[in-house]
Amino acid sequence: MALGFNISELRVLSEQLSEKLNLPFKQMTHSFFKRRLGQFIEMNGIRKVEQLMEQLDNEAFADEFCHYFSVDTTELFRDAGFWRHLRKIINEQYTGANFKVWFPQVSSGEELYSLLILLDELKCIDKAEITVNSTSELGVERIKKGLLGSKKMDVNAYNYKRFEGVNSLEDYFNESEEGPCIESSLLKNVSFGRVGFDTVLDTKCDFIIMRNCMLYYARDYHTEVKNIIDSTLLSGGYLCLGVKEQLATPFDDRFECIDTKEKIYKKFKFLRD
Amino acid sequence: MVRPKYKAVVIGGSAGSFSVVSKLLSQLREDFPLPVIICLHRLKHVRSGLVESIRLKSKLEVIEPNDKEQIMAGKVYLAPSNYHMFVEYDGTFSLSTEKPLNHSRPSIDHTLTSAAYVYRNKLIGIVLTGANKDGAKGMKDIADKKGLTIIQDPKTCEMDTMPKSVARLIKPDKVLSPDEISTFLNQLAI
Repeated sequence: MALGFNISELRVLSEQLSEKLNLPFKQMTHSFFKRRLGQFIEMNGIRKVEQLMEQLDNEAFADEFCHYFSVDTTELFRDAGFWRHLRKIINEQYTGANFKVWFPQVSSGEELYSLLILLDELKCIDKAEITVNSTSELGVERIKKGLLGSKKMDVNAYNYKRFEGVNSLEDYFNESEEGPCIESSLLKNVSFGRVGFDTVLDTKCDFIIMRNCMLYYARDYHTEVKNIIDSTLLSGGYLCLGVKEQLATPFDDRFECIDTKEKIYKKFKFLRD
Repeated sequence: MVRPKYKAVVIGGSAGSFSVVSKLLSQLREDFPLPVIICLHRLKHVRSGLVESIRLKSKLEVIEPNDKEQIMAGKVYLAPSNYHMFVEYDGTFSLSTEKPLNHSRPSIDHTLTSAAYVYRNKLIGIVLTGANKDGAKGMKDIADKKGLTIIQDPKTCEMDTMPKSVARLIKPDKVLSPDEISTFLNQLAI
């Protein structure tokens, strides 16, 4: 990076950014914060911290900065085994019922689009009320447009095949100037919001899908966020984490892991909501 | 046993490196005193099989760490498929789904560079056989922090692009055959 920072300088800067932008920069893992900050600074030709802080007074620039700290590289149906299991749960337990799904933080749409395709194939997309939160306007706008973060359709198609979808993935996407774009009718029951990770929804959900979003945050912050998650999930509801993430103490007595490989947790049914 | 001068060993490899790593771990002493952090290029959609195969011959416990898992001496850590693996200052791993680097996720450069910043001159970096340049930049970071750099002798490599890419960027401290690498590492444990 053009600017060099030592550990304590990075700590101070992350605190300043947290305060200025109201996002948890200081709770990010050291390596992630350093790496993304370095890349952003280099891409934008920033030479001084003062210059960065000044430019962050511009709302659009600040939004772009926040967006850069959310990782938008994923795939449709990443970990096909997870999506197969989720399909089984919805098919067996939610057929005919209305249910709510919350994505507490997404920066690109692949996880959402995978769910929409899954629900469409189960013919229950009208039964689902889906809330999607992103930490940047850029993220929200891209997902609303139905754009893919990754344009590697061959990878997406391979994953979809492993998911054992009933159609062709191409049936769900149209070509646009900005690349493949999901069929807009699938997004009709989705509401979007630009809010931080730790915002509490005013409604309780049946599913919370937050796979791989917490990788970039330090351990202490996980407990904080998971307390919010716990309070937002209905008893008997499902929490979906990334395959290399864990729901550790102090949540062991409130959740059971029903799929250790795909990291699907179920909140005990008899808990008080 | 004297207190080791180093705090960790980090190993990167690609084409042909599975058998080298397998053999190396079968030769390392049971009481090897350092964590061994391994990043191998692997198929992104095949999540199981590799760690199980490596475990078969290893005398040390081999783990594919979860995010935020503590790094312990005497254990072997293998970067999981389709995730980058970083070493943090608090002695844990953090994983990432950021875009591939050098067409690879996990990327050897990412693992080596993060380890270089944390362990500095107490790190041994090793690059084995492989068919691309991933790992070269990470080895330069290890050298810049005065860590010890070792490449597999290109003559013993199935594909020598990876160690040769390192040698184009830095002058490695040692060029060793696979057997010599395990002998060298075992001497650290005496």
